[in-house]
Amino acid sequence: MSNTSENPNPSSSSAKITLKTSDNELFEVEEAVAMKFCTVKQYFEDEKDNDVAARGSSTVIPLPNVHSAVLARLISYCKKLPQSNAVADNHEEEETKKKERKQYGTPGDLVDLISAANYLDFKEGLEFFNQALADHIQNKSVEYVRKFFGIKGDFEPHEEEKYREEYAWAFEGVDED
Amino acid sequence: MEPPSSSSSSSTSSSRSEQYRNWLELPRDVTASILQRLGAIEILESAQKVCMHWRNLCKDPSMWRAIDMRNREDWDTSFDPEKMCRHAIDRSSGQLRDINIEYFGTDDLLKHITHSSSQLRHLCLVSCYSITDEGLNEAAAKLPLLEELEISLCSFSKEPLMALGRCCPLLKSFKLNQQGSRSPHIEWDEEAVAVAESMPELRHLQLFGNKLTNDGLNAILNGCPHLESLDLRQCFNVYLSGDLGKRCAEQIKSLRRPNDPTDDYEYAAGIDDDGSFDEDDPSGMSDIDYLSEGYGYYAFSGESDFSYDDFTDYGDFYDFGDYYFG
Repeated sequence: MSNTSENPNPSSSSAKITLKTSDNELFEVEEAVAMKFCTVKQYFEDEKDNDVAARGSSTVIPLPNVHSAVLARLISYCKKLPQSNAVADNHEEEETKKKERKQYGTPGDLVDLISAANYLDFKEGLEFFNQALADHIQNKSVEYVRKFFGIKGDFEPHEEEKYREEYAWAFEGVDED
Repeated sequence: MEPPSSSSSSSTSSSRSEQYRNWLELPRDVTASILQRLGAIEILESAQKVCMHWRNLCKDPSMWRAIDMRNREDWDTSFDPEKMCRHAIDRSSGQLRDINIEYFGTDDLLKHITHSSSQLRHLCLVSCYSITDEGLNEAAAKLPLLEELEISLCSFSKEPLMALGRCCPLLKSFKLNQQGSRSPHIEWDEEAVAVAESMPELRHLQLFGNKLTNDGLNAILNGCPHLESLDLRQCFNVYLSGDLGKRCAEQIKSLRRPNDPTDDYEYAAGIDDDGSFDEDDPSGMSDIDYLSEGYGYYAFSGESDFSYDDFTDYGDFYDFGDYYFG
């Protein structure tokens, strides 16, 4: 995939901003896309204030916490905005949205996307990918979630005991009243 | 069920182990935001049993500002939802702002909610047959900040509704939904009048399946001058022709008419409709269909082949119907 974001309708207003990822790839993206990342926006505005650069294109904004593969996916997601986060009105719409969210890959991919969206302060993206990850663990057993994410159950026996005492609703036949 | 392989065609370059490491290293507030989406039941039943890190997160009161315990089709019957709900409320340490409960609400639970949460903004009660007029009346006085209220598929008389209106001056949105039915023909403006007389600041009102008539609607239009949206779907006693229709169109920005499509309605929208408007239904079958909806509206929605035998299982819910027919 080319690292230059294509622009089918070039116009004078589509200034470009260059982003540099952790693996030293350069991404030239439209200003409108880059400005969705508040971290970039802030950096860009600070630069402008300092009068270091009059035009964004002459500035390279480093993103040391974001890998090129992740940034490419975030940018492609950005282009699909804005409908993605509208609240679903009904069941059918919710199912469609779920399918859409599923396209963003495995939980591991999502965790990378979430980390990057969080670092970039990209609120719509964070909301979307958080929900996508939540979809993966919704209605799943504890064992499944642990296995899926490679999380180890790390409860001491006394913790388990405490849990059983605290949460009496979960065990049939136990009546705390 | 086996977890699918997560290593295959990932376009990122991270290895499996890196992905896992990342997952536990997500910032606390991000993980909290993900877990919150699972809802109260899953947080208590699954998420907090995964590891200590998650368990600690799930104890944070900020995780419990919203508690959604509406029924799901895969509801696990091995626990007591009311006890679970109380526990969730306790965890919120008074920060609760938003609560949805379905089926298991009681006067005691409502009291627990209002006593422990002075910040409540949103309350939704669905099919909570065990909550009485008195219980709701008492709760009303303790909900001074309430902005959104939903009471669906359960019935209350005019008094508690008036009390809610009087005690909740910030109330902007009210949903009072019923199963729609055409016969027997019942006209009932009490609820509309309660709204009109006590909720002058309403912006959004949903009265799905209500028995109000044009008189009740007129009262609402007079009593709630700021109303922006009004949902009158399946209110079959309302006739929006002539001056009233004109007035609605002028006053209300977003109007749903009695016969508008119900695709986006949150609950099953099956009408008690045997294909006629006959007021003298000799079998009384249509009442039965209506009552059945109150109990298990997922199961029976839209079905017309409901038989009298089926009804015998739901004898307990005669009382529910007496409100209308008594």
